[in-house]
Amino acid sequence: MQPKIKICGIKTVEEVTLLDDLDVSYAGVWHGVPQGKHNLDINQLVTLSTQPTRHLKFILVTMQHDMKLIANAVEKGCIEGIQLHGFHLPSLVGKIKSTFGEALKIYKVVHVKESKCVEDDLIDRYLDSGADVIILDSYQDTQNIGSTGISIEPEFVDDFLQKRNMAEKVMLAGGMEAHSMQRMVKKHPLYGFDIDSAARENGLIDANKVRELVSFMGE
Amino acid sequence: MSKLPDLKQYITEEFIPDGNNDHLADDLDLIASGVIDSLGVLKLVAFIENTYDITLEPEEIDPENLKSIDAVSKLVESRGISLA
Repeated sequence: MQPKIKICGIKTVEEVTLLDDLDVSYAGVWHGVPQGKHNLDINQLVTLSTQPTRHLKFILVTMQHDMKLIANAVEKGCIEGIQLHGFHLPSLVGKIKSTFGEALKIYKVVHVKESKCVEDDLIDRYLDSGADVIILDSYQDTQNIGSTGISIEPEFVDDFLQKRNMAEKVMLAGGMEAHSMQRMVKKHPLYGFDIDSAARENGLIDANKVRELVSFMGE
Repeated sequence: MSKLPDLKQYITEEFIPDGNNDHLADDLDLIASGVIDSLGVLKLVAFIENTYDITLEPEEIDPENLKSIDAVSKLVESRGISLA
């Protein structure tokens, strides 16, 4: 199966249309990301996620731990999945799964710093609690989580995927660019890639860059 | 006197920069009071599992069980480990 591409931090209807036209799988919409550069309020989230699309689906990206806020966004938006981007606990994953069932995919981000995964001991329990996909992302500190543009060392990714034998449930994030993605795809049957900086030029979604990323996945 | 001296020492060394744990009562809500953040909770889980040689069930890894020294004490003792 061809790896899926998710472009993170979508903020405008024009970006939604562009990604849909370019056959991107997922648009990441941020809500409940304090001081997040792409954060949306609930009205913006609803407006974007209810745009008619041919293929593009929406994933809510949040740092929130508050089940009420999460439930409000899931119920009001039109989203296919939720990406828990912070240091969330397995119990919250379980609560979300028991509340929304299989209709809502759960993408749990785990954080890698200096070739060590902070949540390494919890990954099996995230999966047991209902996480559908694990996203490997790099982080610097608690003020710089997500969209850092910093890559995870390829050797770490290789070791992680070989040790766990679960590449089809893993997305890679953190400083991804076309050639490193292509290299990974040739070695591992990944679920997909979570991309921010590599899809942008001067901070804006760039059609040529997105087109290149999508075309690389098809080769 | 805390029933979890190792835990109190760990929290002091890991999360209290000046090392002053005078206010660290056993029933203090560590999360609400800002002593530990969400990353700190994950570190606390690892400490508990490594120190007491237990593996917590996913549903046990919940803020209610990790929010205070008392709560952690109950969680560990529920596994048949005496902390007295």
